Amino acid sequence: MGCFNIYVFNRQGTCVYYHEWFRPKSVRQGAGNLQDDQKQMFGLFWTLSNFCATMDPKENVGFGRRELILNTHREAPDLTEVLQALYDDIFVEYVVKNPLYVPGQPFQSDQFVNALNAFLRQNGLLQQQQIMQAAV
Amino acid sequence: MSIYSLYVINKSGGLIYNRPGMLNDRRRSGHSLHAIASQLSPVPGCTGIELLEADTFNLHCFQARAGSGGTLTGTKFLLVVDPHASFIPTLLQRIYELYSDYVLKNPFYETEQVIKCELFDENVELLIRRYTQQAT
Repeated sequence: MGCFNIYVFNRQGTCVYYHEWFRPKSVRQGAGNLQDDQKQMFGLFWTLSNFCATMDPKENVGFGRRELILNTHREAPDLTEVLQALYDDIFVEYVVKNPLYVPGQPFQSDQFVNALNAFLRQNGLLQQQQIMQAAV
Repeated sequence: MSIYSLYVINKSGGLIYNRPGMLNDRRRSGHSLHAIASQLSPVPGCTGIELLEADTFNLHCFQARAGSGGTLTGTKFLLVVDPHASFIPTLLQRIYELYSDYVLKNPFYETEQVIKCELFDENVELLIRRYTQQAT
């Protein structure tokens, strides 16, 4: 069990962070290039949230804007809380609190990557083998 | 544990059956979401969205195949249910059996056209009623 990739989007829909651990099907076979892939992923989730609002049998407002998208293996359990913790403990801690970070701008931070890997491994979502493959 | 609605979508994305009969154009976008999701998948061989979990409902999707493990026919069965409902894949399988018995074997039914078969309606109704009774 493990993760494939992660997307972080800002409010305008631009991808501020993307990381992949393991991607058996390359971007070229899908959307073409990475930029289009990220745009389509945001579009997919934007449409999904609208779609959910119309499908909703209880006429609720629907779910809010998703900013973190984590692709995992099918066997992974419900990760709602894990994603919330990922945002609270890792993203806020290592990105938002970083004085060099400009809100809404793309960022690269080794500390964040290390903390992210450690966090996912702790939750059993990342295997050592995958990190090795990503590094190659 | 309630079943909210059932939709059948043909291979070109048109709605050919819906229960309990509320029609909304947005619902057709389910078809394109499927296509984009399978394109963006990090793993090869992805056929689209199988389960969409929202706060207030779950959307299950069953794709009809030509023969066991054969190619997809493009016909999709969408079931909107309570988030706590169980055994939905089995229920969808049963609905597909009813579809093949009462719709596909109906000599007056033209493939890809709107389903107007009384026997299918009755049996789906019966199946869903039996399911909700069993579940409670």
